[in-house]
Amino acid sequence: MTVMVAQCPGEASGPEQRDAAQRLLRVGLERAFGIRSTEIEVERNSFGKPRLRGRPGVHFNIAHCRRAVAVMVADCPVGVDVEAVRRRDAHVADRCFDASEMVRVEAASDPDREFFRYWTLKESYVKALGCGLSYPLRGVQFEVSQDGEPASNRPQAGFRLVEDFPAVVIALCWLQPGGRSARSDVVHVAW
Amino acid sequence: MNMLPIITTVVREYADVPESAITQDTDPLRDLDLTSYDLMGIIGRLESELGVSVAERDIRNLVTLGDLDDYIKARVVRS
Repeated sequence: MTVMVAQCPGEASGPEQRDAAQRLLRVGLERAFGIRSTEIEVERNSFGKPRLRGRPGVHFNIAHCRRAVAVMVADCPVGVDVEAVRRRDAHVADRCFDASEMVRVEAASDPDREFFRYWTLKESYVKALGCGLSYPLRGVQFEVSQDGEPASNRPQAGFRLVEDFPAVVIALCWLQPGGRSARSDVVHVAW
Repeated sequence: MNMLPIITTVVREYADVPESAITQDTDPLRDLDLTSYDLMGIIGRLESELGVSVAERDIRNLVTLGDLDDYIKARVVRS
């Protein structure tokens, strides 16, 4: 599993985010599978999840926000989400968070950061499944330990939080029972 | 009833864009650089303000703000 992450020095526009993500994807595919940029042909499933045409064993996922970009490349389905930490949204909490999760969020020393840990974990899972926001997020439940290790009610999935950048939370998900992600899988790339 | 003015007001709380940048054809993820988190907040806010419910299974079909407008109108009329 290869995870490429880059922090924007300021706030990136949408096109700048997408350009950076495509660059990280090219680097990640070459690094993990030896796939050259000229060989990359992307198509989408019915829910809009991108995949490589003609390479069913190669999986990747992309996430970007104004502050950072992250790309996962692996041999199993993966999902990644990245969000800038900002004020938590009560409407999102109502729709997508279980009551026990909100108790933990409100009890945290930084509730907004804690909120985005849970949100990005949920989002990484549905991105790995490839079904986007059509999946009921409240049912995907997490408990993040004090040292940042997420536990979930989805035993077939693995999760990791990457919090290497200030004010940004990145969550990784891989759908491989017993699969592992090591800290060394995360590669920092210059913006 | 046209819901787009209400939708526009809510969207502009999430996206720093002029009112003129928002139309029926606007895709909030593609055109306004919003994230799926923002989109979920917008939907939740509209549900709260308008007393409608947006089912998760339908969200994938709500690509543009016009789609969202049509969806909400149908449910406001029904309720």
